[in-house]
This record gives sequence, structure tokens and C-alpha cells, in this order.
Amino acid sequence: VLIVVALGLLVFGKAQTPVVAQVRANLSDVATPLLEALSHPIRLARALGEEASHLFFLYRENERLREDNRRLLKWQAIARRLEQDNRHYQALLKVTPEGAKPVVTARVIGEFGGSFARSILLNAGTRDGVRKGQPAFSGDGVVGRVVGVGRLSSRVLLLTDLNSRVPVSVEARGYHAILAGDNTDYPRLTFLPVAAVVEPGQRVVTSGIGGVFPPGLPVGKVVSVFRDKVRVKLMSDLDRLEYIRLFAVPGVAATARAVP
Amino acid sequence: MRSGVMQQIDAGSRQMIPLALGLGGVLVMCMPYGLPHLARVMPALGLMTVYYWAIRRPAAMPPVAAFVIGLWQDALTGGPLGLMALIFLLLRGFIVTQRPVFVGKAFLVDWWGLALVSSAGLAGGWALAGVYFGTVFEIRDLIVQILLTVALYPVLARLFHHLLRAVPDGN
Repeated sequence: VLIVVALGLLVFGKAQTPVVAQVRANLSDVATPLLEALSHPIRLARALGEEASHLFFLYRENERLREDNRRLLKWQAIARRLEQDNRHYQALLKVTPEGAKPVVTARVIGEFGGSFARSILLNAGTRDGVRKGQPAFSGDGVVGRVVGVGRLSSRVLLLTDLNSRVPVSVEARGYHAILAGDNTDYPRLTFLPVAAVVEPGQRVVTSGIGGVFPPGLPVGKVVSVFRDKVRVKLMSDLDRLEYIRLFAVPGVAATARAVP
Repeated sequence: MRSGVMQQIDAGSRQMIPLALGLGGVLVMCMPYGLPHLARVMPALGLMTVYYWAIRRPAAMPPVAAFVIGLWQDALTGGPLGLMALIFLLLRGFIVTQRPVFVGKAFLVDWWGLALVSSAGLAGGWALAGVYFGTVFEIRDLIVQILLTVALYPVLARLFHHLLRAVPDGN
């Protein structure tokens, strides 16, 4: 009987039955307090490890930061001027500002691969305003989007997962493409225009097409171009995520199905 | 009478120890360790728990327990729901029929058995997931995962050994 149940779950899950998604979300909710409790010692160990390595590299780090600071101050001046120009032009064109605001910052309480999925579990759910489809952002760049929400927890499908497809554009020329995960560390750019000339080092940002991701969020950089295979190194290190910001997207928030 | 009831409750809760260990093992597998690549080659703690107890105390690792541990793992990992539940059920059934080969033998025999069972189970899950998603997954991750699982088993078996006497040997 149980074998039949397991097979049934597999088949219904494949057909994306909402009940199966609900079962999964509920089980994740049950695990959330346990995982949170367990994660304290782990976080402590991670923090200690980082402290130690920081002490070790203090001098060099300082030099680097000083250099960074000099450079950033220069950029700040440029950004100020551009911001002013931009505001001026937007006023002229009557552009409505982008609607993406972060709704919640959540902690990563579970990360899982196995050999066939790339997702993380966050300690925020419908109770905190999380909805399915919301884009997830670490400090450095886009990491994925919410695919399942329980009351206390939510699951983020990472950009590297086999099922992840995100509309992006390659900077400089603004080529539109789809960033497709394939369970490797470096997702691929697919559906590039045939005539596109892409070189390693070019920045990849979200294009905003499709309405899930706000446009212009940093995603990664092109690292390798081999015939028609273009691979992207992500801005954020998906192996060491700790805090994630989720964004509300006006279109998605309105159409999201309420989870009972 | 009262002590009889208490005894039953006590025995009943002791029977639940292997299930609790399995569920806990899966939680430990899902912790955010922040180490590169660890998540995808994480040793299969749930599988080892099912294996260890199905051999020594089959009554305390009934099919339902194997199923629940598998389902729990599927739900937390975000893999296809029912996949590991199915694998664990099949493995549990197989192990129980092969018990005579393992019971009371040297630890090496036990270890060898785990190597076989975990290879079969993890490779089976890998293949099924491949069919499910219509793709072929990185085989290197699978091999590393099997090796890590086999390497970790003596440690886990040692821990479980302390609990062995607490779990009654029911029929």
C-alpha cells in the first residue's frame, strides 16, 4: 500500500498538483523550528571560522578597503550627478518608478542539493508576507525565486537548479536571453540572439521581461563562451548564503493564490 | 495494572527511537553548513538509519517508518515528493529478507552490506530523479555521495550501538 502511495505522490507531484505542494510546505513548516534551533551552533562555528580568517588577513584586507574606498568615493560623485540627471529626465518623461520593494529579509535555515535539486529553505513564510514567485536577492546579486511557501517557511529555487529559468540581459549591448540552470555552478545563457557577440567579463542583469524579476538587478558575469554555450558566474556565492531579501513584485503579489 | 500500562507506553516509545533518529538524521543533512559543494554530496544519514535498524530491529523500523523518513527527506530537500520514500521502502523490504546474512556477523559484513545497499539506493534515486526530470545528473556527485556515506557509516553505527539495547527486540 505504501509503495502505491509513494508512486502516487510521484505521479501527482509531477503533474504539479497543489495538494502535493501543500504537503511539502506543511512538512517544511514542521521542520522550521527544529532547523532554526539546530542552526545556532552551526552559525556560531561559521562565525568563528570567519573571524579567524579575518584576523589572519587583517592587514591586506585593510589595504584593499582603503583602495576600494578611494575608488568608490570617485564613483559616488559620478552616481550623484547621474542620479540628478536621471531624476530630471524622469520628471521630463513622467516615468513611474519601479515598483520593487524588499518585503522581508529572512535567514537561510536549510540548504539542499542532493545530486538533483538546488534550493534553500528560509525562515519566513506567508505570515511574513512571502508569496510564491518573489525574487530572492543576497547582498551581491539575484539568487533565485520563491517556489513554495508555508506559513513559517519558504523554499527558494536557486538560479543553478535544473528548473530555473530567468529572463536576463547582457550588458553593454542589452541582448536579451534566458539564464537556465543545469545543476552546475555556472548556469547557461540560452535563447541569445543569433548575431549576439558575447565575451567573458560582460555583466548579466535581470531584464524584467515576464514581470517576475525587477529589471536591472545584478545576476553575474559571463565566464566562458564555447561555441553556443555561454556560461555565467553568479555574483552571489550560493554555497555561503546566510540572509536573503525577498522582493514584492506588484503584478505577482496581486495574482498570488492565497495559501490557506 | 498501572505499571503494565506504563510499561507498554515505555516500550512503545522505545520502539519509536529508530524513527526519531531517521527524522533527526535528515534534519542534520539539511543544515546550512556554508561549505562549498557539501550539500550535493551530503552523506545519506536517513538511508543509513533505515539500514542499521532494519537489520537489528526490523519491528522498530516498520515500512511506515521507512516511508515517513523518506517522505520527510523529499519534503525538506525539495526533491520529487515520494522518491526517497519509495526507495527507502524497497530497501527496507530487501534488507529484512536478507537479515539472516547479516545478523550476528562481523562488522565488516555489515559494512559491506551497507556499501551495497547505499550504492543501490542512491543510484536508484539518482536514476529515478533523472527519469522524473528528463535529464542525466552529474554522476560524480553520486559517486562521492556513496563514498562519503560508506565512510561515515562506522561512526554512525557506533553511535547507534549505544542505543541498541534501549530498543526492544519485538517480533
